[in-house]
Amino acid sequence: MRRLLFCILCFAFSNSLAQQVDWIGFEKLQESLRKQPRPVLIFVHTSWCRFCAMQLENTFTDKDVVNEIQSAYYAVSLDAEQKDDVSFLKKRYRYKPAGSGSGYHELAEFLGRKDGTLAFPTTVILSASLQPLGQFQGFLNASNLLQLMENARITELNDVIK
Amino acid sequence: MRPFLLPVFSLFSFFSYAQTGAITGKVTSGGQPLEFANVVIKSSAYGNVAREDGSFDIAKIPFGTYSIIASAIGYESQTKQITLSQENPVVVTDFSLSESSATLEEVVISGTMKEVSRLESPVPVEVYSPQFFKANPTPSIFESLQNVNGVRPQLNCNVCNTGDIHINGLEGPYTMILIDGMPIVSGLSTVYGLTGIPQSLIERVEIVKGPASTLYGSEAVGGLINIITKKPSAAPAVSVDMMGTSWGEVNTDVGLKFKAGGKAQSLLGINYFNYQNPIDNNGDGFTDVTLQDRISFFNKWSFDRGENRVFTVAARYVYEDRWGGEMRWAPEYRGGDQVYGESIYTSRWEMLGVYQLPVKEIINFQFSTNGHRQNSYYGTTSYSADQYIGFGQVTWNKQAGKRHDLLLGAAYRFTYYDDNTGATSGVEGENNPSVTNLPGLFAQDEISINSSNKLLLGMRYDYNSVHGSIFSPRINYKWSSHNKKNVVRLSAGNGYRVANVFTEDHAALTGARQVVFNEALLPETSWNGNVNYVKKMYTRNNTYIGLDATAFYTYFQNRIIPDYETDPNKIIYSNLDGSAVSKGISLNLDVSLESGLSMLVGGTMMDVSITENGVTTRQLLTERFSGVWSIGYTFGKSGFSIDYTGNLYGPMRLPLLGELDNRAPYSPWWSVQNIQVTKTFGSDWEIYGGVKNLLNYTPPANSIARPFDPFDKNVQFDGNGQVVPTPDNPNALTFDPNYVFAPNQGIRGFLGVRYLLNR
Repeated sequence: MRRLLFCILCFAFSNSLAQQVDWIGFEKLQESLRKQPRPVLIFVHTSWCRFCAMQLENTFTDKDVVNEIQSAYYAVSLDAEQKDDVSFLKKRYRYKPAGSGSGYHELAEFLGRKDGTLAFPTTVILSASLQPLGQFQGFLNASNLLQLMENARITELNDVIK
Repeated sequence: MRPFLLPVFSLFSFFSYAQTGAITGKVTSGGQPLEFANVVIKSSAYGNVAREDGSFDIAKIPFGTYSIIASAIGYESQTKQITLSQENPVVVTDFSLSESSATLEEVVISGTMKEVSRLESPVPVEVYSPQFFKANPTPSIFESLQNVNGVRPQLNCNVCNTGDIHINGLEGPYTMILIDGMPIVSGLSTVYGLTGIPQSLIERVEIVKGPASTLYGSEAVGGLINIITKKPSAAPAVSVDMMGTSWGEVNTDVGLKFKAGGKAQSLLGINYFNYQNPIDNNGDGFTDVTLQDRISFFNKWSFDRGENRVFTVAARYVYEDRWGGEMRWAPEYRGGDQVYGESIYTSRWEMLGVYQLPVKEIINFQFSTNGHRQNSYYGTTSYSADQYIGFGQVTWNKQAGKRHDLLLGAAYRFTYYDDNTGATSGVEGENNPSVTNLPGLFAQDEISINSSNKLLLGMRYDYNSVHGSIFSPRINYKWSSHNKKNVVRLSAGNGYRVANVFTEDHAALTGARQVVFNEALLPETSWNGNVNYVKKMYTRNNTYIGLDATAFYTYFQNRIIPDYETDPNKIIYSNLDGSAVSKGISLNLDVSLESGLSMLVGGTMMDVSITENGVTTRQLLTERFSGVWSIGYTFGKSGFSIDYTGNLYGPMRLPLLGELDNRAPYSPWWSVQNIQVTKTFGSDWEIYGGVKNLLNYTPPANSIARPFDPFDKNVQFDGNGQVVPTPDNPNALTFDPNYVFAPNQGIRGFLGVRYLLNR
């Protein structure tokens, strides 16, 4: 019995320390925003992109990054090659084949395209009212991501003052 | 009732403040409420967000006239003027926003560690971006491929510098070249498939070594090179790239994008390469590098259709005039025996396209067609040829359940070839062009066994109108570890190819040797197996390390190999009475550091041999070791970057002209190394320059045998046509331009400028 209790305690303890970001999908985002407005961090990636994997493995496990995201953000993960339709702000975004077996999701193109091309990973920050605050194409380490979130906060403040 | 009462109540409360008013209304799009739309008063802190039913209100606004903007990402913003006053303290105004096709784009910041292309299929595909090739800029993709491990652009002729692409030791005819997945090159034109596409219009280059998917047929035993051009939507509005070298070579690439109507977008690419400065640094009296004047146009259209269906059409035209030979050659000597020159005029057109049928299933119709005309003289020997190829293919892609991804297809290829040699004459010498019809059917199934295991099974049946049935099975298997950091790929398949010696073997048409067929040539058949292992590592300090190792083995049951050695005056073609093997291993190391350093280093060791009558010999002009590297460093935000690229090749066995030939039987180890500095100015301009062939490596000056007597006027032959050694010709040689293993161009500087206008 004491051993069981110990195990439960251990479990609870390790859970509270769990260094990970809880990713949600777009379908849950609007519902969550209605309940509690928070800025949104969107991580646009593909399964083959090695710098995406590095950002997931190194940046999104960093203690400060996890704390900041878990306490103040909704984190949304978007696979740029997913085939399912996504409805976002009443608009339906679909997978868009480009021929020869390749193609991207319209929502990934909408969020991440720069000079006509997508590059991965792309990190996008939206305000709690879904206005764009920051976008970054390429790998972000922990301090750069925290800086991007800080810049987004300043941008939002400036927008309000404006 | 409560949600309705609440706003009414709150509106009443505004009246108690005499000098302020309120705005209320609803934001919709297509009649649907648009939750989370932002409604703000321009240049103020007043604003609010639309609720689930689209309604909004902004309270306590001082009286005055304002612009109110309603916006939501993915929609066009809308602005309205309103006035709040004592008489009109509450204004009700609704917004109806229309969907926008614009992206969030303008705020994107860009870093260096990012990827744009994929690498995921069970077939091991290597993907290279135009950025990769920029590390060592060249006028064409043909030359750029020297930067890829296991791939070697090989020049076949010292004089005319025409070449082909060797993949893992197998020559050009075993390599298939595609544009946008469409086979465009066959026989006559390997090089021309790879020249004349402006590099700014290339999205990526995919390389498969060894047999590719069954989709591409069974000819590409060595591998395939697929050039994927940009979608017009992803191309820059204007791109210009001009480069010149200290040898006087000038290359110009121009890319333009334009819209036609609301639904069509078009890309136009123009490439012009000019080199008109004969140089003879090795003193053999011949041009070191062939003079070239080449222009190429590429035009691609894409049409927007419902359901995101694909429809693209592209056309390309290339014209080239090249000559090499004695320094004093001029066009009036063409074909004559006074001054030796090799002069080739080539004109080539291509059309290709994809149309997705307007049905629920994913059915694509793809087509390509091309015409190639070559008018050439090699000394006094004329070679004039026409080739037309038509290709059509229908594919049906079907997801069957969760596990099966099926691809079914039918293809048809028509080839017409005519030249002025004996290859296309009938028994009585009348002209008899060769016509081949090649219908085929194929099916493949990509089976996702579970998240770690994928199996690709393919079958193909073709019917060659000359040689009959061809059956080619394929199997590919991919295992990836749970964390995707380890991937193993196995592949096996066969190859089947009909050799055309005149279009494939440059030496056959130079007239330097007599071409002899000992028997009717049968198709070449082979079996191939590959093992590929990829490992990805991420260190805690954000360094990426990738390893990619491959072992390959190809066994030819029949192979048509020109025999230069039995008789130095002849090239003898016959079926292989034995076997031929190409085997080896290659390794790539890919490292990227956050500091801006990145490197790709690769090496290939291989053994390509032919066994006939129990005797095994090494394949001519094939190295046992090759190495390649590309090391780049970006200096923070200064806009400067530096690239160091290079190649290293081991000795190759070289074709000699008999026992007395005094030229080296093996090439030395040789290396070409290049350095480049690039500076970017804003997002539009880039200047680059550097030095190519830093070590100034050139092949031996005696590579061309008897360059002083190119028409063999002073060579004495015996009754059997063999060369007799004479005091004037002690090594019993004839004029021979086919001893070539490296480009004959020494150190040179280059400078270029790129301009890019997006939008």
